[in-house]
Amino acid sequence: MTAVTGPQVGMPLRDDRVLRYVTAFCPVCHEAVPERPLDEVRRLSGYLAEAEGEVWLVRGCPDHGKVVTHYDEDAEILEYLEQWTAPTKVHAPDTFGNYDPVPSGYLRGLGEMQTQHTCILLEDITQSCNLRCPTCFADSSPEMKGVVELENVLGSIDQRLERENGRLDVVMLSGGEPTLHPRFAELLEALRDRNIVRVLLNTNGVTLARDDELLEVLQRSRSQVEVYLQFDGLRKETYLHHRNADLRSLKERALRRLSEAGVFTTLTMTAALGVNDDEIGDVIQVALDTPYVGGVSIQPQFGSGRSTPINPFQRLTHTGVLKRLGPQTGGVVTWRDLTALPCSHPHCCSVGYMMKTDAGEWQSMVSMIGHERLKEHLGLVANRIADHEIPDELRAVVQDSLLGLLSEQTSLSQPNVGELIRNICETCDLGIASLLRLAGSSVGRQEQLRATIGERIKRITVKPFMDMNTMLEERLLQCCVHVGTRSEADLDQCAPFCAVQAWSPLGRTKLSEVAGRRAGSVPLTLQPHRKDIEVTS
Amino acid sequence: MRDRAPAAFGDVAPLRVPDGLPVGATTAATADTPIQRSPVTPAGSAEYDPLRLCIYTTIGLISWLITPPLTVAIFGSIGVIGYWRARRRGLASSRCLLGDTRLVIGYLALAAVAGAAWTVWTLVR
Repeated sequence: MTAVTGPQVGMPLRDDRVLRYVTAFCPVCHEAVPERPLDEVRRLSGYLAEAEGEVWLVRGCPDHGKVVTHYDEDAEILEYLEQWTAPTKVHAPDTFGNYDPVPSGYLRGLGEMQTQHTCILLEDITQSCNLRCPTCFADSSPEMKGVVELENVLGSIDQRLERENGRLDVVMLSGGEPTLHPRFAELLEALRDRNIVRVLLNTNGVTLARDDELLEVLQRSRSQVEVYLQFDGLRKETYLHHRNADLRSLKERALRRLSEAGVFTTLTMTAALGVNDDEIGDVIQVALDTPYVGGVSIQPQFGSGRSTPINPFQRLTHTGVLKRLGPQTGGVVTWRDLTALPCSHPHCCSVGYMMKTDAGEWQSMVSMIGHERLKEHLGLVANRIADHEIPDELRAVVQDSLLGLLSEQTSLSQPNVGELIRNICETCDLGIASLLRLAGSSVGRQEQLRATIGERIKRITVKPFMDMNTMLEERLLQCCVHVGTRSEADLDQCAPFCAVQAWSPLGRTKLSEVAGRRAGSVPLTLQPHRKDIEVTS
Repeated sequence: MRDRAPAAFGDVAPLRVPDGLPVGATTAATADTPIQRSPVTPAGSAEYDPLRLCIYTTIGLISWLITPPLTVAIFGSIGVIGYWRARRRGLASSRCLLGDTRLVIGYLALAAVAGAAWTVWTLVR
């Protein structure tokens, strides 16, 4: 105890600065017993604090005391992101009256306390993969297993459509490698008939690089489908680290074929500190230079699944990626060109649109509109969310905005550009293909419009997923990226992506995991009716 | 590489910092950071399972009991089939030293044929 004398009376100031109070979890407890039943997982009081210029997650664990882990690299940028928040949308809980706490509540799907609807429904349709990446969060394998029957995938999607009042913004097909699903083409056909604005395909591109039939399938669905192509960088060592093989020529070939086929593609970069965090600018440059590449999604490596262990005291983070944009792109893209995705938790995603002017220069929509004006537009969105006439209005506004935007440079400063941004935000996470879908219905020159957009609009997103070192309950509750799961009672439901990846008992409820456990009694030739399947585990 | 929380937080729980992780020497945005391969260890399984050593011994034992060329013929054939299927599913590059799966298939086929020929020659001579 310090003696209380003279000028030292009273308590000194803290050495850290508390930024916000949070509910978190103990990574030490988690590592000790990864299979711990979810109702025994402790929710811990904690806070985010700034120290030495960076942001740290501090929580108190009854067993391990104060546990501190690295949360973000730049407090200033994190504060900037927190300005961009818009009201979220109403959701329908999977289980009525489910007030179970996080994370055990997710065993019964989305609970009553979830505060965001499903923007993206992620469906793991197979566990099989033709790569075995050391940094895979899905723990996939080369064996043909965990193939979800087509009827079960559609059953999960249809149930979510019903809960989302008849429309889904985005369905993301993932795995494993989803293109290996034996009925992949049929699945895409079936999705085309449903009210799904955009279908994203998460793929490593290995099959796409040489399978003409698959490319044709994607080309047929290209007004609805966008490819999310794993693209970690340009160096051999990067691929050896992340993918265990030098895949550069395959990636280049897959990208070229997609671009030639006019299929919108987003380069998905898994970035790790000291591995390829210096290649972010190079990947963005590839996106800017390649027609029909809609943009880049940069995902700092996180420590769930089969990931290589992450240093709890030093990692690549959301703001770390943002901070690197300017220096690595020669100032073409900076962190001020992005905003937090307003409808999600501000720490969970940032997004920015880059547009090529008639002079051939890249400018961000944010810089054209101005930060303050953009905030005003976002306010308007909030007031209109309950308006059921929005889809029609959106169609007209986006159409006008796009046509005006792409016709002449002067229109770039017109208010309708702001409306475009507003509409992008209103529809949560819509990409280029969906804008086209909204804009192009009445225009005979849709192909020309596609080509122009494919060359002149690029979207850059940073998507930091959480592992136990960064997991916050409030981010889970506001999460809108939901994974299709099945309850113990064999009912379709879903749960936040990061929770499903981090907690094994939740991971086992993924559709592909359930299918994998049933594989003992189900041959790989798919069965038409899932009710006929005997559950073996 | 940083291996502890800032002193501002006082006494905190010690956390495991994995060895050999490719973290850059600095957090500088433009630093040309060194690249190191990290150990490929599944998350949550800190104990190394030397399963392959058991497999190699078993193969050696079978080889000893059956005759080496025949074992080569059998395992070579199984390997060709396995890699052929994997390639059809899109596996272009193997962790095998040869890398390209076509090379691996060629090597295994050659070994299988040699093993079969040697076995036949042993039987008929």
